[in-house]
Amino acid sequence: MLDSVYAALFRPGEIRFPKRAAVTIGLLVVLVLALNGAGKANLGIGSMIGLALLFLFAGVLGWYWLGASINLIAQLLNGQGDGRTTLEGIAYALWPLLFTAPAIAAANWSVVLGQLFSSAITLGVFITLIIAIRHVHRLSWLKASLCLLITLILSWLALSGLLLWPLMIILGT
Amino acid sequence: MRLDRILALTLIVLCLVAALGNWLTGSIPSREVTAERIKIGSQADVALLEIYGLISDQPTTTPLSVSNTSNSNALIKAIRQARQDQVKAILLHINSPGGTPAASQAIYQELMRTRQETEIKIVASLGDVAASGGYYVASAAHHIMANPATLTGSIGVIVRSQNISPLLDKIGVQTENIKSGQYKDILSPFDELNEGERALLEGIVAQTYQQFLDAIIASRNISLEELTPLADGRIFTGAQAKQVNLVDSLGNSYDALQKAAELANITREPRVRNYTSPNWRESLGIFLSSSWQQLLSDSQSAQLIRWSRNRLNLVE
Repeated sequence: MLDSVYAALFRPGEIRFPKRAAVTIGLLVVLVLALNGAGKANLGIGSMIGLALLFLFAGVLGWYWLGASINLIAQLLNGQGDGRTTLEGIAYALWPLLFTAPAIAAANWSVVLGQLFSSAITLGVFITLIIAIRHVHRLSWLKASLCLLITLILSWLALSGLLLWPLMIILGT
Repeated sequence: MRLDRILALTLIVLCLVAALGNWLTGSIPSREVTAERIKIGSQADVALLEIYGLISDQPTTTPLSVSNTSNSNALIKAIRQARQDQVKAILLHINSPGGTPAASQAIYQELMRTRQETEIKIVASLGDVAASGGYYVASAAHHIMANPATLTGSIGVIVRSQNISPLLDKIGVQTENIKSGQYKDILSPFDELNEGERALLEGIVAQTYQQFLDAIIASRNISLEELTPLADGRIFTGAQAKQVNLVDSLGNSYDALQKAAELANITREPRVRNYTSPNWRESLGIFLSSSWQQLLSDSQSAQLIRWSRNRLNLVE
């Protein structure tokens, strides 16, 4: 397990995405984000557990959404992977989010340091996602980057549509 | 253990410890104020208590809904928490047409206990309306501030009963009561009040009214002779209430905050914490129910206005 985590952290190009390690990283990310969120919202233990469950639910939905989108675009770009390994690859690729905890802690000392840390995490997630897509679907760097870019744009548009269409129906415009 | 495993484990533990630290530094000061925290002055100076809508002992929210009432027990809990957190002042934001006597009285008594047992200064800021039970609660404050157009007063007690038996007679509905005592169906809408019931209710109203007057006299610098002519149920604007000494000054909620800071000798910018803000369950309930109800009703109103304007050729 720790070998897989180490590979995900330091040798992302060599990872093989075992399911257990992917789930472990996913759960750790959810736990860290929930703790960060609970701290920001001044929540007690009960509320923190509730928030963690909410994050878990939302995280699973988001994970599935992103995985399905990436897999669809990668298939269109002649990718070789399947949906399951795409999902596992994404779970791995989200590991830089673990560092949001030190980033928030750092922001308490220096806002600039926190922002730099946060920017590095965002960049890190993009890079690890591209590595995961490249690895799972055996795509070139360019195609993997293009796949991620199109996926993010489409996901954003789809999410906007998902939020906007009920409003449009309700408002009658 | 191999070095790479140790490194991976260390990083994970570090991230988890940092996340735990983020949570604890965010949550602990607001719930358990330690001596050290007080020493470095990191807790709230002013506790904000919002009293909106009808004051009652009914639950204000369920996991999936929220109502426009202020729950007396929740407010008492908030006052006690503020006292435990050793805040320097309590700021009451009141926008309430009143409520049940018992609920208003319970909040009033908790505030008076706070006044008597601690150095905490209490300031009430009256919003659109602070009438009847709303004023009852406000009267426990060291200082009451109202907007000039605030509606306040309505000092009095009312018990209302309706007799729908003549209507039921017309449609041939008869109601039979089997009761253990003569007053068991008091305030029943199916019978007219008899003399005994009327006397009983008048006694209750008189006693509750007297308690209301006593509460105001005990907490404000006003005599019974001065108060009685004002306490016939009439309402006052904020400006009128200031003239008759029912409020102390005119101003908005920010002026009230400054007043609270002044009374409590807070020299820096006061740190305010809302002690009545909903927790995440209540927020989720509000999000899932009221916001949609509000959104739907607003959009329906907008559509109705648009339809009317189109049909009737109305011009704004």
